Amino acid sequence: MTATAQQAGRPRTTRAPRRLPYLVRQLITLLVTLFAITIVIFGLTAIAGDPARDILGQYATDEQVVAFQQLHHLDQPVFVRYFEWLGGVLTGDLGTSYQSNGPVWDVISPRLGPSVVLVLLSWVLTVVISVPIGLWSGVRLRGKRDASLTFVTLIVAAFPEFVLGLMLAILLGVWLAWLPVDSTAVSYGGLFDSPSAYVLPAITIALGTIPYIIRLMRANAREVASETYVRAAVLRGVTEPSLSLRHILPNAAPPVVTALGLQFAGLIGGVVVAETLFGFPGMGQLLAQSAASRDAPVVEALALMIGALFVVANLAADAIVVYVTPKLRDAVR
Amino acid sequence: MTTTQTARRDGDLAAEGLSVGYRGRAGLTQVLADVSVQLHSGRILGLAGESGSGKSTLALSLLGYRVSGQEILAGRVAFDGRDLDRASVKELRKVWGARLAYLPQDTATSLNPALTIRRHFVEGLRRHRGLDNAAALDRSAQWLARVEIPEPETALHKYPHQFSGGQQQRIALALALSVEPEVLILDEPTTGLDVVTQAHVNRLIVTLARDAGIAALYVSHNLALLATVCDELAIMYAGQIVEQGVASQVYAAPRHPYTAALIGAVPTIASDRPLHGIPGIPRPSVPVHACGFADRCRFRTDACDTDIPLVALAEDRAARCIRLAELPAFDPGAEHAPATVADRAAVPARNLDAILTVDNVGVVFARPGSGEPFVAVDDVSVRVPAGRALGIAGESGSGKSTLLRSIAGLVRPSSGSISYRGATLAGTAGERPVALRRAIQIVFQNPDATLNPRHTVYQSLERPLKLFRPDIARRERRDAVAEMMRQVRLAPDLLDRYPRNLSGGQRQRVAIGRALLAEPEVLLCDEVTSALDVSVQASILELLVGLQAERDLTVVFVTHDLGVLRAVADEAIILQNGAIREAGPTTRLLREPSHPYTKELIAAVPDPDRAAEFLGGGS
Amino acid sequence: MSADVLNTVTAADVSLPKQRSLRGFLAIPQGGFGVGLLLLLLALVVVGPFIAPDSPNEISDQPILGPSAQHWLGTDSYGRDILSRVLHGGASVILLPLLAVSAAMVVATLVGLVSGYLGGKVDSVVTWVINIALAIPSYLAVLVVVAAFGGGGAVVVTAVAVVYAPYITRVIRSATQAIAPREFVLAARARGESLGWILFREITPNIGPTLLVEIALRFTYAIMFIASLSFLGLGVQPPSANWGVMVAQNRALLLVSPVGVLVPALLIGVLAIAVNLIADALTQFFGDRIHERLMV
Repeated sequence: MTATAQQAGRPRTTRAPRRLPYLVRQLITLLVTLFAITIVIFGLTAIAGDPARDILGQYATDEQVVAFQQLHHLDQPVFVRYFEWLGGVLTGDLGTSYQSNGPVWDVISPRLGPSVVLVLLSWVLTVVISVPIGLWSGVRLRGKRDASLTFVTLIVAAFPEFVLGLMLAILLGVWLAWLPVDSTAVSYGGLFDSPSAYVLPAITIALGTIPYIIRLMRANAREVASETYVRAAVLRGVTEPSLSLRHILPNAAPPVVTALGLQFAGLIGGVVVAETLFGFPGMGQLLAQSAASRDAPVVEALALMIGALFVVANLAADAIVVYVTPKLRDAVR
Repeated sequence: MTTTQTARRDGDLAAEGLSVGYRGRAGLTQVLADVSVQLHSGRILGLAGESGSGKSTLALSLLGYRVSGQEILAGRVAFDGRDLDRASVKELRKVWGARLAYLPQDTATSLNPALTIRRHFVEGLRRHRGLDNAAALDRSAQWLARVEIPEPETALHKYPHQFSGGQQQRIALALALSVEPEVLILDEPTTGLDVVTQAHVNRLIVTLARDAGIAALYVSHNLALLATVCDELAIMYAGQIVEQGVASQVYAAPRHPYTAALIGAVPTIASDRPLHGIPGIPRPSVPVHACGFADRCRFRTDACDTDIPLVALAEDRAARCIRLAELPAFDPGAEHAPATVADRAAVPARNLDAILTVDNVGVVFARPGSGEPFVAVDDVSVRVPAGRALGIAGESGSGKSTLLRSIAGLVRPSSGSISYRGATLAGTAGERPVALRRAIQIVFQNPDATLNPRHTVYQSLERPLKLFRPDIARRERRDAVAEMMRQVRLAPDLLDRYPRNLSGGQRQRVAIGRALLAEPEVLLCDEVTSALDVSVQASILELLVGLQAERDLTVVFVTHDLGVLRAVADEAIILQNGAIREAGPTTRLLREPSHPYTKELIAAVPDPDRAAEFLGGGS
Repeated sequence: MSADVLNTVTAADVSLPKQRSLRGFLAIPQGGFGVGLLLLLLALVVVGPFIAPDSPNEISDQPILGPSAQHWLGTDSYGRDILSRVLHGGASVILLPLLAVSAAMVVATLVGLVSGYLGGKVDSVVTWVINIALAIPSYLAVLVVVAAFGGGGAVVVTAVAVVYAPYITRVIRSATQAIAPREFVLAARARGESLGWILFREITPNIGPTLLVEIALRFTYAIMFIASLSFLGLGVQPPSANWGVMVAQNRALLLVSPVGVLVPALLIGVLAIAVNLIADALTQFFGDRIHERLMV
């Protein structure tokens, strides 16, 4: 047995480099990544050049253009603008919208609540549906029925969210008329005054990620189920449900947890599309509209908020994975 | 063989005329035919066989475990008055773990990485023995102590990865025995462990199983080990038992040609007996109306093409060969002609010039992840005389492969220097002049990776000619390659095949041919046979020893197997933790070791002639 | 990140060396079905413009009609024949993603091979860039680009190519890293082979299956992504006949004439399904597990 030298050998040298505690390292990663995201977001807008003429249109006078540039500090050097923007972000001032000419925060704030509820709803739907199905099919399902499930997940996974949403709208909204196909109602009254308006967007968003999580959970459960230690457990007389829940799930779950963190990215795409499709007054709809109308300050602010959420979700998933995996728990110490 | 010496008691497990097949895309493949074995309390039956012999299938079938696609074609598995092969899963799960215990092959993966040791134990003790938590913990700690796990109470709260491979294997053994089963099935339980650790675990297995009066089946490819630790021995080939009897008798005086040939292929450190390979490769499925071994057998006649029964020779001895009556009992020790090893050892090393000199070489790596440095090779100096074979032996992690790779220019030494005929070699092959790259060639361990899967055999063999042999014109290359195929004993029609269509042994022959086509002076061999079956290993070693003499090659051979070391090396060094512990002529080093570590290694090699020593020795 | 520890890719994940044939590929249900669907759609897209009854942008005085003998799928709010627009609207749905994926593949394969094989400082820089890029969700990145540069086919294709390149690089790099320590590569190094030979003759043929699976998967994602962007009004711009744009425009007619929205939407779905089935069949066919390991 020749192990390659890198993995072999007993520790002989004790001069180990000092390592910071795991959580501190994670926090540093978080800050560095966020900083990089601000540079990318701002940098992209900066490279594109001065948007004043594009936004004001070809009939705007030169005075109007200059006024616009002064209002949004576009006449200043890029670096000055970046640090002004960054300073503003850190003090809670997200800038001024090109379109409304009012504070970006005022544009975003009414949309925050509905979107958060929608995302949480979709995410919970995803977990509740895909984890059990994936585990069960990975451990128990074989043959034709297993192949059929794979086929269905492949097909659902290949439908863009707007197509899925449209089909749901036609089926549940138009033909069966169970649910409203328009979610504008959410913007009137309280957050939970029109619960039915959340249903179609939430299902649409969840359907975008469910097939993926089912497949991942299924593949992992199947792989773990074929491990020697599972066979050894079976041959020690261990029975269901202990076999699936105690012996298989803890070993199959970590990649799925990571994926559920990463799937926040998938949810974001789904949110933008589903909110636009159903006229849901949330951040996703705002993002798409602002991108189309080239309202850079709003897009920057939204991108930063959503990006931060994504990074935090990933690192949280990472930490959970480390916590539930004994081997990693020791490795990060 | 249905003779039984003792009356059947509860707890005896037996297979009777068992035939098993797998149904796959290609139809039914039979893997076991007419297998009868019986386990007895307090005794260990060894089941020896090469890859594909069906030994693992038999181990699982004895438990009533059914792999998907597996079918029982005939016979039965009887345990305590019932047929396990027909028992329901519900019934089986009451027996599994409680009365029949199983120790699987892969140490590192037989314990669940997500569960503490405690949970492994408590689960079984509660279910099968109805113990409460406290009693279960108590019993677990006792068993951990019995398998010599330090601080059993704390150990219970740890996870498997916090133990070494040997400890994990011992924990798995304690886990199996803690429920006090009547039968223990062991499937290559120590594969993957280092020799010293293997010896320790094997001693424990034998002692504890005998003490507890357990009926055990020990499955392994290691014939010498089984002959050392088991009471009875069964030899499997192509899904059939070809010979069966008291272990020491089978090993000392085999009756079946396969048994005899297999024993002749096992490298040993005890005698000067040369190795002899068995031509061909082990047959993966059951033969139809023929002897499964016929195509590799020296004694084959037309009479062999028929169903051959297992014939009882004595009350406790049987063999499956049609010519049993004509053929005498074999004497594996004196089977063949003289030793090459002994001849070469007669030439005194100091009269020869060193072709390769390693001076104070050290290799330090950064550990992946933490970046901590660790020393893989520690200040090694060695001279390799021209035309001789140097063996480098050591356990995994001893730095033996790293040392070899630094000579090949694949790992840059952190300190020291390596010179070839007095000229210092650059750290990596790319920096060495073409003549030096040609002169030193390397052959690797893993037959699955040594050849590029997307290149044909011819493409692989032609490459060194293009790079190193401008003297051979383009149109003559095919002839040169064909000639090399002949020298490594491969059929020329393999040239246009891809490696996936070759057996492991054939791939290693191609790799040797690829190295030799460069016309090297020095051939570096990195565990070139460790992934092969014993019978194939012996053929490759025979080939190497022959080619070395023929071409006056200098060989540096890395191995973990002292028997292999003895078969190929004139001189040897023993490495531990990257440093040389002992060096000298191989025969002397193995006969009169002076360093305690060498002694420990030698004591760990199972030797059927000194079984008592092996089982009692060590600490 | 700890995820990297879980996602160790080994050579066994890259591919299994076994005999393969086109017939074997088509015998996998996903493969046969996917190839069949894709061929049908390609035929529709290629032949469509020639058999369309009307010009796609011909405005008539009969807006918002349901299906009829004259207009099989009805007309849209400008009175344009939906069937004609459907028959003209497929080319850009296929070509834009194809362009984006091809561009990203070329760059990513080179970077991934070099970075995975050489390791060291080159690899550290590449890994760092990849990790930052992957920390930004694709949708966000593309929407920021569109906000900065304006929408349209060219911007979207460039943005998607840039956003996908790090993902592809990651896969190729991992595959290369799994192959690089294999003995046949070591043997090549010991022979003193050139970097080009090792990368393109020893390693590339062995990551070929991974490349193919990656192309098919990325193509699926790109079709969905770019169609969605067109639906959001950020990709292909009206009045072009494009299935995504048609869904966006005809959405208002949902209650009146669902068919006019459903047909272009389903066609996009079927196209993505065909490619996705092929991707899955390729995964099975080659025994590729690297994508599962890397969770892409």
